[in-house]
Amino acid sequence: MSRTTSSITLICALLLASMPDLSRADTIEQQRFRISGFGTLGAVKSGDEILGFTQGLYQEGVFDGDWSYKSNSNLGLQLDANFNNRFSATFQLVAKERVENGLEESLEWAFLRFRATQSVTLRAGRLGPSNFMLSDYRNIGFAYLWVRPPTEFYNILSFDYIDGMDVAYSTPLGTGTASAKFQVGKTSSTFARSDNRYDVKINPIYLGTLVWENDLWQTQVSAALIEFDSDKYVAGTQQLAELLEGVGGLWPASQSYLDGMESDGRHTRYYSFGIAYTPENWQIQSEMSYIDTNVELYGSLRTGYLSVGRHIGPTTAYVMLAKAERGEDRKTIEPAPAVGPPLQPLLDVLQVNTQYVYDATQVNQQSASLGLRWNILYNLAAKTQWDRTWVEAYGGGFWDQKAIPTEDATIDTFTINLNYVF
Amino acid sequence: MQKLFNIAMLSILLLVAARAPAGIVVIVNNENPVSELSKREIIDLYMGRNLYFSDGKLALRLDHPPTSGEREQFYQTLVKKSVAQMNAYWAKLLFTGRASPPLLMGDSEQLLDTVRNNRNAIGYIDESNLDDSVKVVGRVD
Repeated sequence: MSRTTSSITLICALLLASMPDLSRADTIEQQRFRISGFGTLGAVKSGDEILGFTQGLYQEGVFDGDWSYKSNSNLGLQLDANFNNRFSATFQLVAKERVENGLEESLEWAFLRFRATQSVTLRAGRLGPSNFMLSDYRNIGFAYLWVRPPTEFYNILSFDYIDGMDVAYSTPLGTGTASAKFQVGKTSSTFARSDNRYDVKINPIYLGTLVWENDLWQTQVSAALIEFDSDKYVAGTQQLAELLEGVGGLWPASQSYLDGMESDGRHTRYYSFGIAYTPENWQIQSEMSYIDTNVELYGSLRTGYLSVGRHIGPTTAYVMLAKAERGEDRKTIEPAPAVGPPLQPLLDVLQVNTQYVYDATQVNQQSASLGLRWNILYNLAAKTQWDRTWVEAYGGGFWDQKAIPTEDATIDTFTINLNYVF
Repeated sequence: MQKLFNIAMLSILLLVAARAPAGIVVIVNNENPVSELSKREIIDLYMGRNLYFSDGKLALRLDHPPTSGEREQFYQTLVKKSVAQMNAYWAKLLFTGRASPPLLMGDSEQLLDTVRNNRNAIGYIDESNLDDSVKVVGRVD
C-alpha cells in the first residue's frame, strides 16, 4: 500500500472515530472535532531576465518583472480531533504552488498527540519543523506581520515537514513560560532550478529548540543536525560528477572538485537565535542563523533580519532589513589542462559546467522592505510590501537562475496579499 | 436656573454611568475547587500557555463571539491586544498544532449555561450578567 493510500485510510478512520457524541451535548468536556482553515490570495511582481523570484526552492521562479498569482497564494484546511483529554490528532492539507504537487506533498501535518502530563507532550507522524521562529507556520499569512517570512532567512528551509516524532516540555519560569522541544525524523522535497527537478532526501534530522516567552518577549534558540540521504553527489550534479570521474586521469585537479560535490552521508548544522518584543503599539522581531555543512558545494551561510512594526489602529506599518551571506569566497575552477583533440572540447565543457554548479549554490544578497498590514476584519487582513533586493554577482542561489549572474543585480519585488482564517 | 443646570448635569452623568461598561469577571463552575485566579493564571489559560487548573483538570476555556464587546474588552484589558491581533496569535497556535483556541459560545447566556453544566469550564462575562449559579474567580479591569 502506498504512503498516500495509507494516509487517506488513517484520516478516514480518525474522522469516524472523532464524530461528535450527541448524547452528551449539555456536558461538553472538550470540543471533539474542529475543522478550521486559512488562506492567502496573493499577487507578486518580481524577478529580472535571469533571476526568478521564489518563496522556496520547491517553486518555479517569477521572471522579468511579471505578476504571479500563484507564488504567494495558498489554501489550507485543518482537522483537529480530540479523542479524550490525553489523545488528539491533527491533519492539515495545504494547496499551494509546488513543482511536485500531489496529496503526499499537500499533506503537511498528520500527527497523533499524547499529553503525557500537564507539561510533557509527545507527537508522532508528520510534523512541522521548529528550528526557526516561523518555520512551522510559514503558510499561515494571517498569523504574521509580513507578506511572507523574510526570504533571506527562510528560503534555506525548503522542506515543510518532518516525518518523525517530537517531545515537548513546558514549565512556568520567571514571568513567563519556558519550553523545550526535541524532534527527530526525516524529510524529502522536490526542488526546481533552471527547468530541472531534483529530489532531495534528508535522513535523519535532529532538532532541538528552547523557547522562553511572556506577554512582551519571545526568545528562541535552536540547533539542528541533518544528514543528506542521496546519491553520492549533490542532487542535480550526478551526471556531471560521473563524467568528471571518467576524466580524472587527464585532469587530476578535478578530483578535489568532485570531493566538494559529495553529499551522501554529509552533515549540515543549523544554529539560530530569535527574539521578538511586542509592547502595546510595537512589533519588533529579529532572527540570526549560522548554517554550516561539510558539503563544500553548499558552503556555510550567515543569515539574519530585523523588522520593526508600529500599530496604528487596525493597521501596522513596518520596515525590515535582511541579509544572507556565504561564508566562503567564490570557488574558481581552474582551466582544464591542454590535452588536445579529440578530448579537449569535452574537458572544456566539463570545466564550464563545474564552475556553473559551484556558482549556482552561492548566496549573497540583502533586502530592505517596507510594508503595511491592515486588519480589515477579525479574520481578514490585507497586506502590501515592497522589497528592494541587492543580489551580488555569483550570489543568486536563493533565486531560480536561468544563468549565473556575473554582475550585481537590484530587483524590486511588489506583493499584495489578502490573508484569512476561518 | 442653577437647579435646572444641576438636574441636567446629573441626568447626563447618570446616562454616562449607565452606558459605561461594567467590569468583566472570570467565572468557573460552582463545584470547581479553584477559588481565585491571578491575572497571570488567566492570561496563561486564555493565551494557551497553560491548559490546566491547579487540580490537574483540563480547563474547558470558553470565549465570546469575535464581534462581541465583552471579547474586545477582555483581551484589550488583559493583554492589550485587539480581537484581530488575538486571532493572529491563535492562528499560529492552532495551525501549528500547539493548542486550540477557547470554545466559541453564541452569547453570554450560552456561556453561563455551559459553565453551570461543566465542572471544568471557565469563561468571562460582563459583571451585570452575573448570577450566583457560577463562581467568580477573577476580575479583569
